[in-house]
Amino acid sequence: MNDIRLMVPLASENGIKEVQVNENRRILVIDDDPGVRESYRSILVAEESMNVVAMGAALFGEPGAGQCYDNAWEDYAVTLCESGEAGLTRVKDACQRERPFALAFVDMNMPGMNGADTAKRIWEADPCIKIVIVTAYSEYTPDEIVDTAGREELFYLRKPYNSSEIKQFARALTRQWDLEQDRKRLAACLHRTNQKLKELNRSLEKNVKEKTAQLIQAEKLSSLGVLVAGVAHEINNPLSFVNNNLSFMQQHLPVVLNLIAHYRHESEAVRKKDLKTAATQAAAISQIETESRIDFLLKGLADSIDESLDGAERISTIVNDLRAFARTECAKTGAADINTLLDTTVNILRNELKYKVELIKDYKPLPQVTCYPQKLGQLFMNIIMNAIQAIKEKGTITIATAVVEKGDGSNSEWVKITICDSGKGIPEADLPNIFDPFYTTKPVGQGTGLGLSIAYEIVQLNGGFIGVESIVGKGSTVTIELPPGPNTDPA
Amino acid sequence: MNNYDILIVDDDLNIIKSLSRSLWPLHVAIHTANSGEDGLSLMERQDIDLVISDMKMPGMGGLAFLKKIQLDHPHVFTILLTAHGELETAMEAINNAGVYKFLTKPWHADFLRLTVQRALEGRKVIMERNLLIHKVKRQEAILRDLENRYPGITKKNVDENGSIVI
Repeated sequence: MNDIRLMVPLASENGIKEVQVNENRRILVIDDDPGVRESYRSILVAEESMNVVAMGAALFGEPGAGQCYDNAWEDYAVTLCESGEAGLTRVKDACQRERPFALAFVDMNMPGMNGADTAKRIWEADPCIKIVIVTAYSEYTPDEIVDTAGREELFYLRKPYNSSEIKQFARALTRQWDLEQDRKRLAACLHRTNQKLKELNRSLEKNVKEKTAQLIQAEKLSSLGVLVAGVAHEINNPLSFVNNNLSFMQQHLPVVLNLIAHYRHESEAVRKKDLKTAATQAAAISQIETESRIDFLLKGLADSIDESLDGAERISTIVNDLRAFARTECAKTGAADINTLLDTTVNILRNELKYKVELIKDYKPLPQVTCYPQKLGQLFMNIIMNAIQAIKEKGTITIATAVVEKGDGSNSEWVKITICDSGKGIPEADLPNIFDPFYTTKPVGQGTGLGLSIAYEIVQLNGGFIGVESIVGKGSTVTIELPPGPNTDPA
Repeated sequence: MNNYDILIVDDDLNIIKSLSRSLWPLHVAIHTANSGEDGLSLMERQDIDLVISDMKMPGMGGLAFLKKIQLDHPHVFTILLTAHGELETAMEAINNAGVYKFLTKPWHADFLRLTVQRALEGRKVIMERNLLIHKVKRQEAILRDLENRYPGITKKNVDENGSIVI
């Protein structure tokens, strides 16, 4: 009868709920007087009056159920000890068997260890046990007792006491013991849950980082696709005429060589003073030169070479620009001049701009900015590309840069970049959503809807701000502000 | 191949120079323009036999340019020479803009020359045919008129002996 599992009725909004409660009903009594010990037993292991049983039955709604839990409310497992040492032994033993006492009544005045010392020793072995010192305060004051016992949560029972005082202590303090255990259990549970949440949080963050990186990569590839399509023209044109020029040279070189051969013959004839051959050759030379339009041809050959070199250079430039853009190495910070970065991007997009956009540049001198230059390059590419696509047939794009003082006391100089287009604009209803991933107003298959959300991420990464204003039918303006210094997030 | 006038239109100067050199052996007269608009105004002043044009140009663009030629100068043959080898472009050019041939960059110099020759010859044949049809129609008109005025004059009456009866 040490641990009784009781169904205790608890009132709740839905009426009476029955909740299972573990009750520790083990009580230790330490008193050197056998008579006193016996009286404890009779009080604590009392016969119940029939009234209580009847009440219990009525409460539980079970006739006779009260019988099973006879003496349930005030029935304890009482252990009697005659001395502090004996009590201490029992306490240690109980702890070992994992059936600790909830409460100990300890007489103050005992031979050997007095109550206070006993309390101290017992608490060393079992800090959770509730202790009631039973004393007449004749020899020791409460303060003295507390000092000796070492803790303040001592309860006192003054002699002479009556049985109801014992019962009250028993009821209250066993209950308190139960509640404390419950609370400990719940605290541990809470702690475990918190740990789990922290772990979950960590893994979620990691996941988000991975996914963001993937998204940025995907968008980069998609922009690259756009780029490559446009680049067909940029590379194909120079390639075409370089190829053609070489072909031309190959075709007409024999004529020139032939002519040179004739000149050689003539020159030789002259040296040999063979005037007849010289004359024949001269005539032949003259004819060839006329037929082949030699002056024209020679100029053509010279021009071919110059133009081809130009062409090769153009191809080289475009390939370099592409390479600079497509580099996948991510987190490299470096100092960059924003104006140069913008120009590189504009250069890559030259083909897209050439036919329908009038580009106005308004760059102010800028300090170098420590940032992720490749990512900023991609950022500018996304924004400018959007601007180009917003323009239907012909329009203007203005790119302006300037230094702004951030008036937040830090006196830092930020760089402000404004990209303004005269395209179709963004409806007010869409404006709050434009930075959402996958949000796009383009038809299916065109665009990933990721451009601006990636742009937003990149701006965040560099510790800056991005904002968009737009009027339908007139155009949009994207404003980006970047800090000069180190970034917040080492990606 | 003499006395033909060819117009090359491309916004890339190096392409024009290179193309001109390619067509040199054909001994044709080469005119050049950098845009569709320039090309059209040139064609107002100068009779052109064949136009070679790029697609992507500032202003009106290649397809619009070629369509306008089809309208204003229907007897001019056109060749589209472009880096954009997409099917849709080709279809649009051939079906809607009346392009004679659609070539992609980079081009093959010999093939280009051949195409130009064929185009010019083909055009020559068509124009001669048109001229002949025109002549025939005119002669028919004259005969009809004579017939109206002097019925029977255009018919030949032959008797059993093969003699002509007047």
